[in-house]
Amino acid sequence: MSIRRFALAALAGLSLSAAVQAQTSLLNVSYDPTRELYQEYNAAFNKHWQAQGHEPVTIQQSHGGSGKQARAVIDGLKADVVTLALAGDIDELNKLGKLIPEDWQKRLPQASTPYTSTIVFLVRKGNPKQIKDWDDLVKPGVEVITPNPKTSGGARWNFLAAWAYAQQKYGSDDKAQAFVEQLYKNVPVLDTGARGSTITFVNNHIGDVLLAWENEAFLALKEQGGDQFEIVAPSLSILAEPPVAVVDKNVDKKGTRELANAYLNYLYSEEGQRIAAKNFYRPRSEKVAAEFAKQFPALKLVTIDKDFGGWKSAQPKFFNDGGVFDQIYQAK
Amino acid sequence: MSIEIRNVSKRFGAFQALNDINLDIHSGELVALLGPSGCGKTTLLRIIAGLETPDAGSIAFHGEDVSGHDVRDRNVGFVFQHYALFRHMTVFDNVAFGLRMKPKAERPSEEQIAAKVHELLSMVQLDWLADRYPEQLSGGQRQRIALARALAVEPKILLLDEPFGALDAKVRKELRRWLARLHEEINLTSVFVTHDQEEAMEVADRIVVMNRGVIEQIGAPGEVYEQPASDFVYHFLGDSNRLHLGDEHHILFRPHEVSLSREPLADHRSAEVRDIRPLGAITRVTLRVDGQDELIEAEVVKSHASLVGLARGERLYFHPLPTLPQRVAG
Amino acid sequence: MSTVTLAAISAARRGHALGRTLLIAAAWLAFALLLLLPLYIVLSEALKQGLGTFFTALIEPDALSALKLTLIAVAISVPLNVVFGLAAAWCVSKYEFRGKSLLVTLIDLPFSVSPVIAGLIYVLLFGAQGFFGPWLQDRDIQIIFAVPGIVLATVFVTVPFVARELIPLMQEQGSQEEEAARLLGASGWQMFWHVTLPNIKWGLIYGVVLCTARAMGEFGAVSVVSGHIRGVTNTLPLHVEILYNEYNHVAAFSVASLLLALALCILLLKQWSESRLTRLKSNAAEE
Repeated sequence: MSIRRFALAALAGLSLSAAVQAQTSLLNVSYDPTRELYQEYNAAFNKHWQAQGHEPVTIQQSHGGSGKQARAVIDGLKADVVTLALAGDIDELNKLGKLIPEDWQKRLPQASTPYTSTIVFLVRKGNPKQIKDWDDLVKPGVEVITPNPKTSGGARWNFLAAWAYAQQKYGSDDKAQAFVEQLYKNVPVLDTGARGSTITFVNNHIGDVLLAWENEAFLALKEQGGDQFEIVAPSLSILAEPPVAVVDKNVDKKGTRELANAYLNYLYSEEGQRIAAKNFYRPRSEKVAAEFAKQFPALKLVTIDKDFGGWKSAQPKFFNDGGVFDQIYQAK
Repeated sequence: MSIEIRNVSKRFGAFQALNDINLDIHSGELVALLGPSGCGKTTLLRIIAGLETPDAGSIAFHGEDVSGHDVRDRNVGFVFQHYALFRHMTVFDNVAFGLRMKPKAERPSEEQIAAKVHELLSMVQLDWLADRYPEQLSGGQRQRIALARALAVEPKILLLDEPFGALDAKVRKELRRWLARLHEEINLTSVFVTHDQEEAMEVADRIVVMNRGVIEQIGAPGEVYEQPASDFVYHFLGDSNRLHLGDEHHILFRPHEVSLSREPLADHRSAEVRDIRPLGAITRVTLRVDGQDELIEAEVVKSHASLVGLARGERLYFHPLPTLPQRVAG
Repeated sequence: MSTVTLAAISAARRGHALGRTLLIAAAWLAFALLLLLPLYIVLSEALKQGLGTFFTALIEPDALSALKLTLIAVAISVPLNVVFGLAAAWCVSKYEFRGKSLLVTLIDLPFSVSPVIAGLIYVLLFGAQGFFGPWLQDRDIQIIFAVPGIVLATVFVTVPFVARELIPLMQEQGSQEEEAARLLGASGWQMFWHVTLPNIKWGLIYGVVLCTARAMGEFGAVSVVSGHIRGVTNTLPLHVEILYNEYNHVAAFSVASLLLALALCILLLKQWSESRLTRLKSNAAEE
């Protein structure tokens, strides 16, 4: 008898919690390092949304390596919006999942990229191995931490930045490939996402240099104290553009298109841009960029579109099965 | 309650355990299924109980076909060789089990159950063990409890599967006599399985001798012993010797059916003494007869004249005195 | 015996005693290093910033929902596997049938398969691109990246525990008590409840303990099917990973010690029931 009563009570409790969640929810599937950014942004957006006369909304977050997250959305993770590390991953939502139209990137300003970042080096305080530029990463005895390009967006930006440098300096694709192969020989462990690599370097004390998103590097300094690490800006880096998009198929089914659009649009607002900058992302808004100019080092940057022919060309060439990464990593 | 077994056959894979068995067991009699391992006796018992289903044939109790009846509907009592007492229940609860499992409508009250249990435990003279657990009892005690448990639900038929097989020789003998006496009192149709011919002879009203899935002979103990229907029955029912008489003749006789002499006598054959073994009241002498490899075992009382001063390797003269009508066979 | 051999024997005996002491000391050392030391580290890291921070980490909403999800996964997978384990052990020990050894091998499959593969199997079956994907999408049923997927993954990796405890136990116990029960007029259910279940009580309890412990701690398989939606599809182990990845060192260890506490509870429950039963038996024996 008592078992029956307990079971009824449990069922009642579960259904009650289900009722509470009947409040509108929005799922933001994001890449690895954006946890702190969206924690702050979501609170701000919710205030803004309610100020406009709407009911409060529950914003759910999921974080992981960009490629892995895209894969999850394709496999059925019901994202209302995706805020991933590179356009190529969002392209997959169209190609493989038919969740989003092909011209998604044109729908929001600045190629749907409200903030950008770049790739820098994070080294131990005092820079004991004297790491100044990309060439130092291929020296013997230097351990480089970078995530797995197969799953992580940041890892792919890292790879292309290294490639761009080598190609410009040494002249040919072959020489660039040899350079990158040598670099990956110095990588002891490949995490699945950018945050994983950061933790490996910062918490687990593995490696001499971390190839990181600029925002990750700044965050590590902030969280762990500037007395343990320093940022080294390489002579050449890549403009990392992490775009955002509404996932059409999901929002239409859920009826959350208006909310999702408002959510992404607010990223371009002054408050949104300021939150991004505070979290070490380079804002698109010139006004806010001027406010935070001192925070970001000036770097010589290549871009994915101009120098690599866009992700449509770069992803298959470098990162798909049989691509350059597979060739050099197997050679290990 | 009589049992009618008609044309029962059973095979396990490629092995034919029972081959067209026909048998009638009369109400109130105690029948032994006797035979070597693998002869099918336990299979037949389990088929009667409903624990196995035959491939062909039928079982009837008092004329009513029970072949389709489930185990719990056959109302048979069963005693296992290894007791199968419920190890986590007390002796009392074991014996009360069958009564407690009855459907609500037929179930007696706890007082009635208690009375019945104590009555049965007294019958097997183990009332003082009611609160013990099976693991605290000796083998003989456990088997008596198992019997009490089987009788608690007042079955019309009692089946016993080598009930004394797991017990010491002395306990075995005691219990078998006790069972025979019990049967005289309660007169329940009983079938028990054994491979021990002494046991069968002592306890049963009739013996069914089985071999390789068929019945060799059915009869009262004296009958199967004195008038065996085949060589197999003869050999199984007791020790036997074979003496070859040359060209396909041989005679069969029991170890005690001999005349022994130290001195040569008429009709007595010469043999070499291979072994002399005192076995209590009798002494067994193993002889090697000239002209055959098969040894002869003779048993005489320990005070027999021919044994005085007898040693291995000496010569002894013997003459078989078979009571069995001999057949001319190879 | 000569004095030489006596001396040799006593020397051998001393040698044996020394060997035994060393072996026991080595066992204790291994135990301390592999079990006690990590336990100590987890607790000391968790309490580094005092009890206040410790409890704040535990009652934080995401932690509570992770706890709830872990408990749900356990509450569903353990009873399911008890039923399955009982049924499988029953079939294997009481019946002969074709494919019996295949069944036993399949039951062991979750042991040999990496948990990540286990999770992947479900993604390939129930994901939007999977075998049942279109069918599920049409009916708006979400299995992967939602609670059902997590429960399924947990069920899969805990399948063997109860069955593997019960199969050898029931095989060894044989069917005779059950046959005796049937012959005495018990129905199938009565036989199971009064005869079979009490006999396998020990194996069952131990299997449930192992099953529960594994269900609570499962990481790999659940990680693949989780979707990592914070506050919704994260179990306690996944939540610990998230905390650790967000520089919340102390909070991560605090939640980890919650997992430890749950494990200890289960072990204590097992000890308690074990002693109760032993006491029951010895009481009856004394009378």
